[in-house]
Amino acid sequence: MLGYILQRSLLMVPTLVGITVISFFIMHLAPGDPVDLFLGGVAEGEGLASDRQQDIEKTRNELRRQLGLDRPVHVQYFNWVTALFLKVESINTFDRSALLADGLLERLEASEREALTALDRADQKERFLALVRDDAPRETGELEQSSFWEGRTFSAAGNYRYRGAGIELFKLSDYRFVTLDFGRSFKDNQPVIGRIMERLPVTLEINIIAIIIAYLVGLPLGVWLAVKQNTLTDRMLTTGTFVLWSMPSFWVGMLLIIFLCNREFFYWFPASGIQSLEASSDWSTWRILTDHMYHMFLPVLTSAYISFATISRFMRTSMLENLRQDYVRTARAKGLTEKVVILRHVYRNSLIPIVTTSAGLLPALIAGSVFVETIFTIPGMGLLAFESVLTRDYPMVMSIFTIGSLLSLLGILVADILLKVVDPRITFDQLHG
Amino acid sequence: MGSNPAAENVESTVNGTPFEAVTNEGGESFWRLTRKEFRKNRPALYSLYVLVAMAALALTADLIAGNKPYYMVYEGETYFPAFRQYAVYTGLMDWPEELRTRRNFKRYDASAAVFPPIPYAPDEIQLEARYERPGGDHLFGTDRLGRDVLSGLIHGTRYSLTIGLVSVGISLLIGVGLGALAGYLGGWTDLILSRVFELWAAIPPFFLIITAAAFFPPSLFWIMIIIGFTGWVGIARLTRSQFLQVRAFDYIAAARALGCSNLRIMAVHILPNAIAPVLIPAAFGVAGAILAESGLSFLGIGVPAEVITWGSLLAGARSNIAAWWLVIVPGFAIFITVTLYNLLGDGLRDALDPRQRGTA
Repeated sequence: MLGYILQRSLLMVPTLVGITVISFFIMHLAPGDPVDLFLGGVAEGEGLASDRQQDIEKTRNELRRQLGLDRPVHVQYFNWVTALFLKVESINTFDRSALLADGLLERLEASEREALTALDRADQKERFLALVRDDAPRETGELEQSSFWEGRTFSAAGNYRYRGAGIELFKLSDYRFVTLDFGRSFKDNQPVIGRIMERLPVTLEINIIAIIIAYLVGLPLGVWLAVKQNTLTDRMLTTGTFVLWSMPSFWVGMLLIIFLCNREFFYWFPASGIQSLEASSDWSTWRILTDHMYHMFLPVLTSAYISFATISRFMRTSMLENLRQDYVRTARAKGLTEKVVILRHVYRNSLIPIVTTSAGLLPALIAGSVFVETIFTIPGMGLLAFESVLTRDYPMVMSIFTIGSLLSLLGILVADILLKVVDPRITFDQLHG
Repeated sequence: MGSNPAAENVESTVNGTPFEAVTNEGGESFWRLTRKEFRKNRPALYSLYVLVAMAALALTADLIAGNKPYYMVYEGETYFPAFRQYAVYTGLMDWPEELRTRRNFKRYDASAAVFPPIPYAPDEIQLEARYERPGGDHLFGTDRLGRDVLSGLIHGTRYSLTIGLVSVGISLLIGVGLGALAGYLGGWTDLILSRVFELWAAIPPFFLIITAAAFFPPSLFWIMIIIGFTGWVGIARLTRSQFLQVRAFDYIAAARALGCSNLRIMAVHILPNAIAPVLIPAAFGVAGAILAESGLSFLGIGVPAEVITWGSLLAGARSNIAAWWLVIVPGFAIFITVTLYNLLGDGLRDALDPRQRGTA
């Protein structure tokens, strides 16, 4: 079993590499580039004097060079991959001072840092140096000497330019080793990974709750429909789940928002956001929680209904298949009650194909969050993905692609492992030697 | 394609021939039996009828909704613009000189004119009739530029049908082609192509579609290419397994003995016997493609702004939450079409795959 998991995890690596290659090349081979976005409307430059156009073209080329977009695509790809795995950076005096400032900042208390943030840039430096001087006179001296202050990089909330872009493995006096560096967003120069980590929790929250609800409702419903096969209730509800399954999620989301978040009809739920505008830290935990749940209700419902319909339909089919098996007849013949036959024997065996479907649910949910989050304006991964795709934020798109694919692959792996857990008859060793 | 790399595989036993059991029953042909089975499935059969009706609607959309009259008398001359526009589309004819000044024929001072039942073109802007509620002049209301929703809905049938069928056509070309190569040639080709299939299947499809759609210029052409290129893996895998089974039959060895080329064996001898099950993912694929296109248009990254599809009509409700008709009407059209194709796919599966008969 352990060997199998290891083997599968290793096989995921080439797949993941392949996925990143494909997405990278699709992105970079598409016409146009993100440089126009930096320059805004002037980029088109039509009708401008020719020297003005030359200026614009020069700026664009300079931007391309700085972003590394002027190099051939495969070189860009290799740069991206190397940064992801292990990047060796040389630390110059400027960087060293920044790191030093970071370290000193961390020693300060939160309240002091907050006070610093309120100050002007010049006062900020003054105050900061005064604060740390007693603690670390030698470092402060070194810091004062360095060219660091000439740049405008000092930030009292944390020198973000020098943190969070990746995982730092270790530092030598002149070099440092960084890994898992997904780069910085073209949009605001923030580390991509930090932005994703900000956005991921709410998306995971919606999707995990949606999956749990889908299973809690879908499984019993499937069992019940199979037991009631060919009755009127079965026909009606089976048709109902089929209809639900065919309804596009963006339509359902829009219907909900227009009828349940609209003063013209029913104003029962908020149309956007994850908490009320007036929410504050003074509120009790219970109030914050209920307010959050109130905002999450419709997004979760929109994410859950397709999975719920899929699961109940699969469960019904699977139950019906198993009910026809010989072992069911044996179980009935030996005098077991119908309840035991259904719940102990048939139900367990019917779960097996359901586990396999669960692997497909995860990628579908990730894709679905694009719709759910744009419709309900929820600041999650889906909205981030959509925004970054629109603004051609290459580093952001690449890392979302990679993380999304990784999640999907992990979902498939987990499903296969669960399959083995629920069905001991399945042995992977035979198949894979 | 020189020698016969698959020759040594002929002896390899492949259990379960796909159609043998069916074809020998009572001397009926496979397709006839399939048709009979399909006809038994009422929902699927009626779905097919409705889809054919929708295709007819798409073809005649300009006669049902449009601002070109069937019959018009203008400055003493008689014209039939509604019919003539089909000739103009296909490039057979051009508009006469005196009718070129206006695209909206209601603006001509005609002495007599008979307009289609819905006298609005889908892209006809009427700023004095913005966001009109359903009923009155506009049965399903208007959007933010005063464009008639019903007309957009009827003309949108064209886009959804075209995009659905062409995208799946592209998927079929790629999928059947690669699947056939992998299944027939076997060996290294199969190994490499199977890895490609696995890789392509692992990419979250909708995210790939969104990325590609946002990065390429908005046009129907690119949308069809993108959706087609993301949806071929299921078809390729199925074709591969079909080819693997069929190539082991004796008649293939006979064809090879007669000196048929690999290409001829694949296209003429195996393909007709292997293609039937591919219809099932194709039907579901049309539903998926329509859903993908309307999703993209809903997000505003699909078709160009001036093209009115069901998805872009639905997107109109995002800027005005009070315009509930912009949600209900186009959304319902998408939903119904997707359901019909899904029912069709279900029916095809039941008819083509006897093992699954009666389970779902």
